[in-house]
Amino acid sequence: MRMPQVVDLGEAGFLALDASAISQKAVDLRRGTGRLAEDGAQVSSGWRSLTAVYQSPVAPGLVSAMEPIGYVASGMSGAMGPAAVALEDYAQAIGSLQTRHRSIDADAGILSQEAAASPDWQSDPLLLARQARLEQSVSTLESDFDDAREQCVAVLDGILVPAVQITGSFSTAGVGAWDPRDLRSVSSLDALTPTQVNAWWISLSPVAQSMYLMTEARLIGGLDGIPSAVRDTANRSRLDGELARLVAEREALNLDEQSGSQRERIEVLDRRIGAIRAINHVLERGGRLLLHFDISGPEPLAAVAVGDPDHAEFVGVLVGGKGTTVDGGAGKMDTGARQVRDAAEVVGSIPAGDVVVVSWLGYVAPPTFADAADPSFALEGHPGLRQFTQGLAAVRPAGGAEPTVTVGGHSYGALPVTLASQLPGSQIDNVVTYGGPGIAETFPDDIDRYWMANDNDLIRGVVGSGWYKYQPSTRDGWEELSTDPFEADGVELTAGEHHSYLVEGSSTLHNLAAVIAGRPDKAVPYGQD
Amino acid sequence: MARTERRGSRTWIRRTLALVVCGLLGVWIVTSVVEASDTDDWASAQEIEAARTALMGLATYDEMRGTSESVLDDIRWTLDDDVGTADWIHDSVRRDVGGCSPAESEVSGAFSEATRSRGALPTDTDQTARVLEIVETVAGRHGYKPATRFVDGIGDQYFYLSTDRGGRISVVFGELLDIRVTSDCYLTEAAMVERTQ
Repeated sequence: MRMPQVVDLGEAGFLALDASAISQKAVDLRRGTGRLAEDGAQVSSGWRSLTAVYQSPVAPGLVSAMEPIGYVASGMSGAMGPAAVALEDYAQAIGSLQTRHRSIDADAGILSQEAAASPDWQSDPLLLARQARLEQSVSTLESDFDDAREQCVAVLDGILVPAVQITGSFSTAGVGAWDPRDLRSVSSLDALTPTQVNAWWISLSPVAQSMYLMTEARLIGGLDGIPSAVRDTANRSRLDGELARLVAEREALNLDEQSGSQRERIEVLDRRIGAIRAINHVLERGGRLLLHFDISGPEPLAAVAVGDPDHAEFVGVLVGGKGTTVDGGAGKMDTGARQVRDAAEVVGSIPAGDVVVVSWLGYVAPPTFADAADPSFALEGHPGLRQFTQGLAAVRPAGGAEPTVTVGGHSYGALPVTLASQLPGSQIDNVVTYGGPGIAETFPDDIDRYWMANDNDLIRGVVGSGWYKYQPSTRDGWEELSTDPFEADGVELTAGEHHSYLVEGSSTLHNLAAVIAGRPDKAVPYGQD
Repeated sequence: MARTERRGSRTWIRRTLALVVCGLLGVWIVTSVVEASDTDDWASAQEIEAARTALMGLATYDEMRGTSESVLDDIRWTLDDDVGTADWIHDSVRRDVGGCSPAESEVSGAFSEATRSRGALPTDTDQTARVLEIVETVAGRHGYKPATRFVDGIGDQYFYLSTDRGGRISVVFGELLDIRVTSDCYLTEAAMVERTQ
């Protein structure tokens, strides 16, 4: 019998930390502190004594230049003491939190057993009171962790920020201007817009950024507005651990007799394991950034960029249709994205690196043909797509050029794409739907829109059934691009149809690439061929 | 009489039930057929395994590294000699799966490499034909054969050549002459060793 999960312990960030390793580093730091002061003093006195044997016009200048080493080292040594103390305190706090977590976990297990034995446990006031107490304890754990981290970061920043210059994605505009109020709780970050997220991130000191990356990788990896390289680091850091955890759980379930709910759980685990393996395989191709990785829901979600969107002039975001999943579709979507990227570079004569194409598997697509008639998948997924495109612009420096963003929706993907485009604040410049069953009702004037369709597309069957009322039309400012084969000198360019819109050498790949490359004039309009 | 009415009523219920069952069966069959014909034929497990086996019998990616660059160098030097020197812009070599088939691209450790150069060459009609002739001749020596060609919305010409295994050359006469060479797909030595252990 499967036990109900009566208390959600979440994925507490402190569980990934090694308290004893932090404590050992604190001890090492304390030892180094003493040596630093002694060595600094020796350097200064050594240079002073050199004046007795070294006579030169530049000698006084050299000695006075080296003189500060002694007191700078002494000052640094003095400052490192509190850093060692802060780290020791932090290690102790982590250890205590982990112990408390284990205790709550054990209590939650006992409560779950009792709940499993009592079918109407949700009307038992005693069990409910225990559940409430445990949930309160979990909540306290999280806030205590926030406090411990805040205290440690504040001390370290006070010492390190003036001395450390970090470049790249972790460089900040606010180095040296540390404000503890910038440390936000996890729940408050979810409510921010991508622009606010980016402003928060760049206001953090490098130490605070690293701390968040280490302890809240899941959150940072999924936050639109965080630089892509940082999101990639955060998301990748979770892959191995999650895979090991899921495989272990899957193997444990295999040993038991499988009930209906266990089979259901095994299906979920298999999807998650398959998703991580598919992502790992795509990342192995190289030059990819993992911009989203979420296996908390029933269907794993992800987004993989071919290239770095933060530094590209043109960004394409591809959204899949019916039956698109991470475990079953990440490889194919990534291949399509790379082909579109390569084609866009050629069509637009664009230098390498200036076009980036993202496979956005960030919504749960309808699994079957019958589900494709249901707009709820698109309605649920489109705000995430809009926010993702906002994040692409939010990471650019203030006053800098924003990327030209084209969103391509294949099949059912046409619906979330056109829905996301009509929300205020969307950063979408162009929309291309291909093989889509229908679109959202209205469309902003400032978005250029193109569609490709083919009578062979099976999804067009639902159009005839009347489920999709709104279709792209030239009356509403849409331009239809060709899906037909080209013929020149007796040689044909492949036609694009339902599962083959992005096949290399197809008219449809060329047309989508032309729009992404900012050269829609080079696309072949419908009827020209 | 009453028995006859009951029998008639039962018959009517049976017929209705039969109709409903037939209807549901029909919907199920239609849905299944549509679903089956709408299945994405990306790469089956058998195809992936067959691709892996075939790759195991070839040279390694490490041995073939630099192929795309040498083909492109060959094309470029011949063009420079024949139709005049261009100021070429070179992209760095990319390792990816552009020359791999769908099944090959799903094999862990399978890669191809791609190299691209762009240059301003005189591209009037005569020169276009000559450039293409040179590319076809040189690429032909490396196993690439003409595949497709077309003209885009503003009249730029695209030519594609390919090998039997998926290697590819694209030649585009646009603002610049753009040549990209993608090699065939190979398995890295590490992947091959891992597989044989």
